Amino acid sequence: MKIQKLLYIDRRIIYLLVAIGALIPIIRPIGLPVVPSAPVQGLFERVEELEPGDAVMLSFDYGPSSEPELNPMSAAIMRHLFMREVRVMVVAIFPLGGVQIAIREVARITSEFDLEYGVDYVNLGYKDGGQAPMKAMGVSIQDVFPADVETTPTEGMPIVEDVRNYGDIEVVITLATGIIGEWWANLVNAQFGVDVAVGCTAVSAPKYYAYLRSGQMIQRGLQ
Amino acid sequence: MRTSCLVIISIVLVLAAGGAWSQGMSGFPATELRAVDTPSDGGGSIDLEWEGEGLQFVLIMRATSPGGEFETIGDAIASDGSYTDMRLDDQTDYYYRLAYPAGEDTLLGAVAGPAQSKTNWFRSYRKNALVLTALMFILVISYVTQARKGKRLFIRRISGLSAIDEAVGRATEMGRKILYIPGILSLSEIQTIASLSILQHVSKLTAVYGTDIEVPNKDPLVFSAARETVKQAYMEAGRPDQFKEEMVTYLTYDQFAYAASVTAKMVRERPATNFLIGSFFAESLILAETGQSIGAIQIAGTADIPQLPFFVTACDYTLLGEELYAASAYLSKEPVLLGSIKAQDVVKAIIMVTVGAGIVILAFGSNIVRDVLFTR
Amino acid sequence: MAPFGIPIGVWINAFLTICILSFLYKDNPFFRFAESLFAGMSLGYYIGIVTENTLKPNLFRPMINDFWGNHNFLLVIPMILGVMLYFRYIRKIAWLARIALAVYIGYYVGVYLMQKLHGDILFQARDTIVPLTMGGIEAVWNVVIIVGVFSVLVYFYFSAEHKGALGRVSRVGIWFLMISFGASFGYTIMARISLLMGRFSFLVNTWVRPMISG
Repeated sequence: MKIQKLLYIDRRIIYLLVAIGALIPIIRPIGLPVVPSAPVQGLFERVEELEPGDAVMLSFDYGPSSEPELNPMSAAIMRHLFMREVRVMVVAIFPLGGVQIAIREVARITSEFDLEYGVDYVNLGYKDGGQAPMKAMGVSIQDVFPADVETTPTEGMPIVEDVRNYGDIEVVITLATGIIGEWWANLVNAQFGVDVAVGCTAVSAPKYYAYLRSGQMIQRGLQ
Repeated sequence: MRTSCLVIISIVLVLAAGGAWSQGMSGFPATELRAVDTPSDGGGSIDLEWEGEGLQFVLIMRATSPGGEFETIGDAIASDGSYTDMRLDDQTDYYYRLAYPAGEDTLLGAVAGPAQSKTNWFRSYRKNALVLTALMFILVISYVTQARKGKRLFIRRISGLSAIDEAVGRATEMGRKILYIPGILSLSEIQTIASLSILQHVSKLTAVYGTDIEVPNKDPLVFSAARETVKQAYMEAGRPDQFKEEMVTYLTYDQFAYAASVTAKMVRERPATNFLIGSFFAESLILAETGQSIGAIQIAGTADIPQLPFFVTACDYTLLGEELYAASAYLSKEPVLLGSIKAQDVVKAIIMVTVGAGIVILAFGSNIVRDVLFTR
Repeated sequence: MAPFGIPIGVWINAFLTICILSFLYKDNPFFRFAESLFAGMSLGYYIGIVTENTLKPNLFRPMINDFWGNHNFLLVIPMILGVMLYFRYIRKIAWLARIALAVYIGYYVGVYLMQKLHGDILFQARDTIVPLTMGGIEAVWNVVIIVGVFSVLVYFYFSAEHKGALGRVSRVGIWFLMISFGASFGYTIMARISLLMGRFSFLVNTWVRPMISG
């Protein structure tokens, strides 16, 4: 019977306990080890296989609420890609905040490297419509993004001229919240055959295992 | 005299080149080059095929006229026998030839072409998807036709459906409102459409009982469609005068701003019943938990698998996945919805049989069913 | 402006975070203020971003810069369809909005159909055909996958009453569903804690710590 009493604890006490539990490691980090899981290792190896000059599309498909989970992933992936001298095309499909996060994070990471905008990387910004731009990029990325995030025309940018559609892209990496990672897998991977990797929030993780198993996703991303 | 000398030198050079050519052809590792448009693609590429053997590299050369300047565009291993040249302009003639670097000489193969790349209408390797789509269409149309003709199509009653009527009844008894949340995705999501047909059933009940209902929206298109739906339900229930436009409101487009507004509404207005039916994401637990904390009866329904655990935990009844569609068909008795559910059941049965047969056949060492289902 | 050497943006950010967190205690005017501000700002932001990133570069600019070239005149069709959606507010021509809505739904249903059929059903059905003849733990997991897929499919079979054998198989299906929900729930608790830690990390490391250390 005693255990039943737990059901009637004031929820505010639970909130307080959770807050204390969350605050302690922030105020005084306890140094837990970070061990890469098999899917993470797989994505790392896929990036290692890329040759300098290969093109990767990086999609920021999350808003501010998922930043704590996905920002570290985007930073780690961008650093790895730029270290491999891979060209990166940044896009955003999530409407609220994705593009702002992309602008900030891309600026932060690219400043650590000697890169030329429009040649080594480009931030194409946000496009509305979900699957519609995803599908249209299979024909022409430039048609979907005639201008970059700063409204500069993409015509004449070497990276955009050279990477015409998914056929010229080695891997699409999406940092996704909600359903968008699923679209990249069952639309872009399935219909255009390009490798897709998803860095997802923990809440979406279980559903991606099915895609990982069936080979529709090269890796689920960082955990 | 000078002219005669030039002619003689030219003849000697041509003969020498011819000698080298015939000598080269005998050692050339690849022959019979063919250039054709890559089948089943979106254009912009040409497939090259040749007969070849050995592990020597051959260079692939391309020009836009048979006598034009050939440039090297790539290389391949002779025994591979194929190469795909991509990033071409459609409707342009291209000519190809293979070259083989033998020592200091480069031996040239015969010119193939002209070949043009073009956009193909069909991807022939997706026949399986086409067959399944066609089958689905035929089944849906035939079941919908049967339903329209009045044939009774059996769909088992979902146990949660009676909970809907009870929940509306409870709100009526308590004299408090019903909050109906149609999910956060747009009309392009089938769940939203199913939710709207359940909304129609619920609003007919509220019209009959005179219970207050509110439908807060995140998506502008769903907002207009939901208003139409509720209005229509009140008209069908014979109570158009009771319909108020404020029953269906628009809040905001941001997921969490919407969740914050709806939870605040729950806490302030304390509805007796919450319906959370449609497509939900991370806001599902926030909504369901707040609803539970105010003691409302909660009926949820979604096909978003990751969100189902929260609804199962925090709601009184949950329509799991496809039950949502079946419930909307059952309640509305719409021939289109009923026919679709029946057709889906048949497709499910076909998939079960196919997969079952595939497993048995695989045990005997054949991959045939897996190959039939292969997509790219 | 930087009270205590901390940028004003951080102060606003911290204040709004605390306003929202105050809802955990109970509903209050600070929460209401932050909630309304959040709702209004997010809507404005969405309108702005769609205008700047989609309407201007993909619709207005091509039509203004080169109407007849590159088939840009065809953009008139989606523009008219988009405008037609707003006809709903003019009673006399409200019916025209349905045409635009039909095109919108039609497009996405088509995309979805192929996405699910080609990208999900065929892939996953193929992946369920797994070998049972090998030994070891792998074979056991393969049996679990097959039983799980079949029993859940039976649970979602609506054309027959779930009685007898069908009922028993569908009970197995619901068990599989509940186990998967449990796994999902566990992941989500992790996710929610990490969201909370994100906010706390901001409050502690970006707001309080610099204030204390001066």
